[in-house]
Amino acid sequence: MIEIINLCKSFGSVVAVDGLSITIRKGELFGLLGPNGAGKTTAVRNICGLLRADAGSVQIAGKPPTDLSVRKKIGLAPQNLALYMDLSAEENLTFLARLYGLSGSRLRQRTDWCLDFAGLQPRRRDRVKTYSGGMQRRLNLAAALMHDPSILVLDEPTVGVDTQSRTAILESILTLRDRGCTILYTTHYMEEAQRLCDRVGIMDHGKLLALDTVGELIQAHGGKALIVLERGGNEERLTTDDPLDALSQLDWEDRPERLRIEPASLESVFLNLTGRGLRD
Amino acid sequence: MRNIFILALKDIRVANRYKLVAFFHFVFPVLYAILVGYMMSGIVGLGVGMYRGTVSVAVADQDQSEFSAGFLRQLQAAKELKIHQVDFDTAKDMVRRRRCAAHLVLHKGFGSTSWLLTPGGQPRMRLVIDEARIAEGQIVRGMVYMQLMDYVRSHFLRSFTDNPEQNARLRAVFRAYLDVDTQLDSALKQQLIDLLHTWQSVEQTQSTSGGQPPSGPTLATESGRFKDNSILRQIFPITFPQGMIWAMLFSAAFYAISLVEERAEGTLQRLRMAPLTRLQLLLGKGLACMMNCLGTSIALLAVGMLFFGIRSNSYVLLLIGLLSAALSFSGMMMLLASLSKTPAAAEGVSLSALLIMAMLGGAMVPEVVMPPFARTISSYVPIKWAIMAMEGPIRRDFSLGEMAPYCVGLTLLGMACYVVGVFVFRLTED
Ligand SMILES: Nc1ncnc2c1ncn2[C@@H]1O[C@H](COP(=O)(O)OP(=O)(O)OP(=O)(O)O)[C@@H](O)[C@H]1O
Ligand SMILES: [Mg+2]
Repeated sequence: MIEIINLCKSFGSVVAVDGLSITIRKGELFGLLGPNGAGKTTAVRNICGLLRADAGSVQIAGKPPTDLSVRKKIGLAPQNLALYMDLSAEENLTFLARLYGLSGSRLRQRTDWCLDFAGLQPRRRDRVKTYSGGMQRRLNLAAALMHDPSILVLDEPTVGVDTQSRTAILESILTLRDRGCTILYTTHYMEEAQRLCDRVGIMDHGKLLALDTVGELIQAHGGKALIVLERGGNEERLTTDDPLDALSQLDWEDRPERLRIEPASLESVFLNLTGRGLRD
Repeated sequence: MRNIFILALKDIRVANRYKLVAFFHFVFPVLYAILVGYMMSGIVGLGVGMYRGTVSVAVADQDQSEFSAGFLRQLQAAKELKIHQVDFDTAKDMVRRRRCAAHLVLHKGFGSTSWLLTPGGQPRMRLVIDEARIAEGQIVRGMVYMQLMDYVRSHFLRSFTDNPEQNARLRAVFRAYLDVDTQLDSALKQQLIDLLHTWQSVEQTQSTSGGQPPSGPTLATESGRFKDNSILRQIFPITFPQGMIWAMLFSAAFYAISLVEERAEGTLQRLRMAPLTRLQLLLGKGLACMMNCLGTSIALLAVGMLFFGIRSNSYVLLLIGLLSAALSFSGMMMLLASLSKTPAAAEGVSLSALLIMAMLGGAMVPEVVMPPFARTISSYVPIKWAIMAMEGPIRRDFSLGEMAPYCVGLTLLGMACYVVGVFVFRLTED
């Protein structure tokens, strides 16, 4: 569905995307992970045709993303809020919908759906600049859904959103996936990616480091599981490939007060692949 | 086309949310038209002897004679001047503190009148004008000399007309004045010439009949010959078109900035993701700009027509003028916007371009006060064409043919800007 072949993009001397190749299948929820400055947003903007690639190509359903018929199918929620702050939520949404040719009852129906989705029904006539950060973020996402696109590109759509809204948003995204939407999702929240994504790509310095299902990635790069025991106020840490086996070999005469098993997770995959150093 | 309208309506809606927009797009131009109208009526009125304001002058009478006191009374009677009779130091100080535009010192010996009887003699007084207030200073200068001549004449008419010898000397003095002081303005010259004629006739009547001298012609001030309104009726048709241009310029600059702001704030990304071409995007913004230009200038015109007696010989021509001006301003601003990278740059470039054009085009200062080189440049500045396109049907009774060069020039310029603007806009990312 989305075919990215050897995509390269530099800004001056900064190489933001360096030979990225990913194929996202139709109906798939694909997660793109990477530390700050890894090049996710740049990749996303190239995929949407907002930037011209230095090399390589992006094809969506066999056409370049700049093609009008392709653009109609894409819904983009940019990482930076892209809303008219002096208009209300309703005005923002209806304006965008009209550009996509919606009108009449269909327009009203979609507007209501999106306002419900963003939880902004009670504030629909207030100016966006009077909303809280989370409300604006939710509207930013809803605006991408207004024209009911079949391809969704969501660049960190849940930053700064509270737990309740996040849960609701994630559920809605899963519903959209189940309805057949193809979704590209970038995030810094590992548990989100782990819960949502069919497949995950991890990139750093513009390059793709790994790409697979969450399970396979953990298997390959997650490292050992961690068993944490507390005995007499002391913490003992055991790392193991096989937690069950390790537990059975423990000295159960000296019973620990507490025991915790931390299985390898996407987070450990991420840290193992991209290192623990801080990013700019 | 539908998309362009949707885009334009959004922009107008956004524009309407800014309070300051209303000020710059409407209140300022109206104020400009009215205030400059009144100010110009003062300046122009001055030129035709209709100045209605008063200028403050500090006068120090060091002579303290009957003659000087009489002259002061005469000055005080002149309604163009407000006389503050003070001592010399205070007089100087009042000019320094801008309380007065000039100070006048009547030196000792002012009343001796001997200066009058010496050919080329100067009155024993000194008029010092604040360099920063030349225009008012000139009024003072004109008034003081005029009043002085008038006073001297009536004074001498009273006391000297029975002495033919002195009369002859006096006449020689005045003649000398006429020859020497080339700076005397024509009105004053005329006064002096009249004065000489009067003397002549006085002498003639005396030599023939020996009777009472007839009173000389009184100083003819022209004020009151026109009504104030009549001059404003001539001025508002000048300042309202200029106000309309201001309204258009501010509207146009607003949209130049708004386009770049959309780029900076990311909403342009959404627009570019929508099924729109770049041409539609730019035209959408341009259309909003044009509609706003037209809306504000027509609103201003309405104010002018309702309250300030603005009329047009042809509203169709006026509309054509407005349309072509709006097209060219919006085009120029869209071109600027597509060239600017940041909102600050767009703001800076568009506002300075606007101000320079306004200055050269005559929307800021009337053309009369421009130096010759600026006047030459002025005819090549699109704002000048726009002013002509607006003044044409409002106060010049232009025909379609006379309007055509300005309207065609504006239209072509606007379209050229759009073409280049779209080309540049296509090249830019984001
Ligand atoms: N418009 C631009 N001009 C110059 N450099 C840019 C531009 N956009 C991105 N970059 C650079 O490209 C690199 C990748 O940036 P990008 O925004 O794609 O990272 P990211 O993975 O989205 O990071 P984050 O998780 O912080 O959003 C960074 O080094 C950034 O400084
Ligand atoms: Mg990013």
